[in-house]
Amino acid sequence: MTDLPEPGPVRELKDLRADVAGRAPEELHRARALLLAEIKTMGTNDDAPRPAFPSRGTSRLRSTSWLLGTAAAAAVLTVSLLPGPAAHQARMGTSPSAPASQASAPAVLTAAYVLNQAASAAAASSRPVPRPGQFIYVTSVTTYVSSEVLPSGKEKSWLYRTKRQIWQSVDGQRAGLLQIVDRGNVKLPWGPVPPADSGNSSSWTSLPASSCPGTAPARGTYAFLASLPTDPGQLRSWLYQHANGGNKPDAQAWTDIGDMLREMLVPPKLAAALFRVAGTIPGATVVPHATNAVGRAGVAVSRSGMELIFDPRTYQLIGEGGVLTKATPGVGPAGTVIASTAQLKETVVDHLPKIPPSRVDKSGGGVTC
Amino acid sequence: MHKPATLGREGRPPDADRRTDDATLIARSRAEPEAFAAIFDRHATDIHRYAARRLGAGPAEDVVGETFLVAFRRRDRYDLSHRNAAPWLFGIATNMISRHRQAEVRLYRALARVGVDPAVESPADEVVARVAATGQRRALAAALARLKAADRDTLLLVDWAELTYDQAALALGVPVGTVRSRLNRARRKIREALDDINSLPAEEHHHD
Repeated sequence: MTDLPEPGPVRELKDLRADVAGRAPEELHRARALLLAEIKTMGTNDDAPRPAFPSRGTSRLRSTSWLLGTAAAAAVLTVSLLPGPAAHQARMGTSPSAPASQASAPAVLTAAYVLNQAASAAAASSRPVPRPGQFIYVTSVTTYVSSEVLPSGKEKSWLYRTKRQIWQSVDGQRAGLLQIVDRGNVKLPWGPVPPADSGNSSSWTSLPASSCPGTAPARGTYAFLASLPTDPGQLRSWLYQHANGGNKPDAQAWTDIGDMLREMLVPPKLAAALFRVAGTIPGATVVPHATNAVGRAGVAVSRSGMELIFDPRTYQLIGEGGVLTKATPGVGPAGTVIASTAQLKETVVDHLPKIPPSRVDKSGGGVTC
Repeated sequence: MHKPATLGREGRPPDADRRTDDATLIARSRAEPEAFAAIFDRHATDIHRYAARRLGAGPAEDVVGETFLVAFRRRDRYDLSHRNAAPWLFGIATNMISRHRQAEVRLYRALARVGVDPAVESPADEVVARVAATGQRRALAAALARLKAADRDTLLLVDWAELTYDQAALALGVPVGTVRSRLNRARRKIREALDDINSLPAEEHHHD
């Protein structure tokens, strides 16, 4: 209750900033693309795990998360039609024995088709075969989310970009080495301005040995990968029985495959089998126009926002991408690109580079033999 | 058998039937998510203008994007007895705008301090804004910056977004009596700020 008469509208207030115009719906590209991407991806993200990103301070030594390309959310909107005949597999009810033509593309690009192409390409590729005692050397460019919790308890996130060089002991019995060169922070579309980054600062970290002589090589080493079955059926069984995390089985299998492919020289037959297994995991979709972290165009297969990006002609793996499938407080709405990588080179070397010990940090977690 | 999605299908524009009310479209979107795009096309401009008035054009598009994502995800909980979705959408937008509260207050304070609208997009606009900058306008902006957030939300939903009291109550999830008392308080403060200015000598007036 009030003693004063009820005040009417203040005309001057109604006029304040009244000349501000609203944009037409078709001019609100970013907002509209986000909504349409959400509409399109509906129903495929019900078991989306929150991707575990390497945090800046701790576990960024080896990216334990999937990579991502700068695939804009809008890319999800496009349904790509391949040129050429619509050579579908035999329809239900017609001659089940009709041989499906593997060489013809389906009318609509499917994740299974892309992954099978990638498998064929991998199987036909040749890779150096390292010896125990050597190192797998990989260079890559990555963009990931970095977060910091403010004193208020709110999370503040941005993207940080790095260039990485990693030397990993083939059998895990020797220490490896990792160099990370900062390439600066980038604002998330809906996020705050990130802290200034010194730019081009470099850090070296020694990676401890993970395996002891006379024992089986640790998961994550080349020697371990070389010991896995290369028959897709057997590999699939192995993957589902040895899930390396607590997500639902299909989600975990997809994540584990990404982990095995990342920053590694993968034996060609194993890579082929991994792609074939990935092609059997339900819920994967195609992102026809994806881009890796160095701007190379590709075609991606995506499950719960975790993308593997392939060269659209050779079907070589060229990077990973990551997109939020659900709004995440402090990070952004669905469609926000939260990871992008490009694997630039993988090869075998005999020695670690000579870096003055004073410049090398030690990371913990190794084995004591 | 699945019904075909209606969005952008040949021969049928997405929002051909303007008489289809929002509630019908939202109900349809529960089975055919594409139908929700028409809700965007109907309301995005109004939400954008409102957000741009409070925050400037850049953050406004963020607000529009967030608003419709949230609305889409909550479409199952929309009360279909409300045929017009505008109050619901403005309510969500209000929450999204509140995440930019500091930017909003900064904008009003900048406007209050120099009379120049920091959110205008071109130098030509800026000149216009500068010329139009009167003491009144500055006092208004300063008063807006000083209002409590809930009062400002209510005031601007009614005076800028032009919602009725009932719609504003729906948008904010408060009783209409609360809308009324917030409006009273906010308008009184705004008017006091104007009265203060008007009681001063006309030093701010332009001479031709």
